[in-house]
Amino acid sequence: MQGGEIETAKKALDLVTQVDEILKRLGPYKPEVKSLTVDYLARQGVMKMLLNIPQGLKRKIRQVEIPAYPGYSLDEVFDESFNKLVLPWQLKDGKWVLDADILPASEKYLVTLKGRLSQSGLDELVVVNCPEDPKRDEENDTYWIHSAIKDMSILEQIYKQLSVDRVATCVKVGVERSFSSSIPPNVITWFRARARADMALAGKDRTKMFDSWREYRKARREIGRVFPADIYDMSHRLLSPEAFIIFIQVDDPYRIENLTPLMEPGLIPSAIGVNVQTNLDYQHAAAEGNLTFRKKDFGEKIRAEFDKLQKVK
Amino acid sequence: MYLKIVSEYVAPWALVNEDIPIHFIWKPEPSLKTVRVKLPSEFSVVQVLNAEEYSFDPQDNQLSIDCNSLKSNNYFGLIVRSLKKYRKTLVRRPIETSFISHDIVLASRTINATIVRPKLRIAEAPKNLIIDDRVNPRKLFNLTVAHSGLGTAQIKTRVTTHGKIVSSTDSLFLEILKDLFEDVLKQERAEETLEPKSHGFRLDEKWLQATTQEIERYIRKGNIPPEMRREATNRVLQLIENQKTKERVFRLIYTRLRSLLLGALLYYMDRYPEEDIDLPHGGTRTIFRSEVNKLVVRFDYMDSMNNRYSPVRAIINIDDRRTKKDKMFQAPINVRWKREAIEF
Repeated sequence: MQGGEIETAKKALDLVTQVDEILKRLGPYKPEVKSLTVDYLARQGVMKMLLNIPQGLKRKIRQVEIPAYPGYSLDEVFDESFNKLVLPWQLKDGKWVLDADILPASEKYLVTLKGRLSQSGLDELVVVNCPEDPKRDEENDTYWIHSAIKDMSILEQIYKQLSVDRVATCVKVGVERSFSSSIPPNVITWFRARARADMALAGKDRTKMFDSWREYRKARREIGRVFPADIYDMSHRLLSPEAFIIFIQVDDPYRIENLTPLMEPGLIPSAIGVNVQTNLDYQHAAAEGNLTFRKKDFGEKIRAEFDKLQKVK
Repeated sequence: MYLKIVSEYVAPWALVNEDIPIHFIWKPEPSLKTVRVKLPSEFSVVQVLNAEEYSFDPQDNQLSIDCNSLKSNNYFGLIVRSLKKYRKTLVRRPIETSFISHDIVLASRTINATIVRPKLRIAEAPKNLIIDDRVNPRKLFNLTVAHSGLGTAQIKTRVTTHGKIVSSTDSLFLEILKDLFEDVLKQERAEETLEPKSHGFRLDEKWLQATTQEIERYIRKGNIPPEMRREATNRVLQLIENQKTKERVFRLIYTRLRSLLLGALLYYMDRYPEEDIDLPHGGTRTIFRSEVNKLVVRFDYMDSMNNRYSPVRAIINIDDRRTKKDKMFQAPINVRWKREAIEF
């Protein structure tokens, strides 16, 4: 087997290497990391840390320096009494620099750093899976979803405060049969006859032309006037996120983020991408749940719309 | 000593070669030293989650994880795959996990991975058929194919006689596209200008534009009728690439929009005739110009992970009583798809 195929999340996440270095450089302030939150969807990391800067140190250092990295910013600073401080930080030689005298009389400061994460960094952090094909019954199609943290040691000392929020995946919910099974067969017959007639008219075979035209007229008498464009309109209306979302249910702890129709050559979407997300942390290193597509109800909705269409005509 | 397992999980089903996530979460237990996972012999490990050090014994297909190397001593996960295609539509394969402290098993669990596949079976097919001058070809070849198991079967249907292929795709949409492309090329030579014709039904302008763009994307993706010659196809693509000629091509598409829409819609209906059945080439028709005495209708199929399964075949003996045997004979292969339930 496959020993070579096995791989762990050994490769360091960009955030980790930088955070480690940030902590090293903040050494004089005895930094304590309070939390590290990764927003998977926004690809953003937020680190909250406590810096100890007593009066004696302020006098000694005169200037507070926090290393600045591309993509990272110094977001907020609070004092011991949770007052938000508005401070005139200055960017100098790759460092955020502040005159220590400006700091109010507090020993501890809660500093928030915000930074961007790369997709490859995120891929090192969590793994998300869902199946290609659903389990089907008369009423519903069901898809399982699983998400898990790959590596809890992001920062060994703080993994209890580590959380990875909005871990997202896209479940491809197939809707192709909802349409192809809900359009009445006589409408399809009419469409087919019409397409054949169009083609015959463009050709030179007179017998074919008359035959196809007769077939087309016969089929048309049966169904009244439903046009292909009506079906396209209807499909796009019913598959719009606002209309389709009511036919999708997800188990806790998952939530629906948004929906995107996945187009296929047939010009009617054959699947809807349902983006679902959940939060993971030390207590919830892995999450599991199902996504259910209420296809029977959706099929009934299509048929009802079809009836309306045929009545209007 | 006792280990409390808080959560255990294995994905409820997967196709061959599809990722199967597994995880265990337990109450932290300092005496826990090793986690051992014994996998079925046809399984492979893709990833180990939250563990730094582990050893793998290929003889037993067994993974041993050193708990000191766990990034947090309360959780580990695995991503595994089954590499074997089974004959059955559903098999359950045990994954045995033991949590060990100095040779004492604190807890052990057997969880089953369920591997599924789609399976086709010829349920009904004629054994003998007579072709004479009065036969209606459209109603001649009627087969029923049953689909069981779980997962979409992507199917390609072919007809052969003594090893020679005597079939082609039967898709109106592809024919319409082919006609359109031929006209594009004809028009290019004739240098004539085309006036958009009326569509015969009301269409919203914005919607029309979006649809035309959709068709452009479709062609760009290389979805072009298979019967078309490669040079012609490349020429059409070239015409679309060029801003000047592109406009002309799309004016032509615009005049044919009604046919294209009809065709696209029919293609969609034909492509997905039943749940879990996908016919990317649309229907199939048989075409031959000489006497035949036997036709083999063959269904090749694969699942959504592109695993190919053994094709199913129907052999039909033909009694060819046509007066002119060298006249071209064309007939669609009409298939009724039947779903057979799976026990889960």
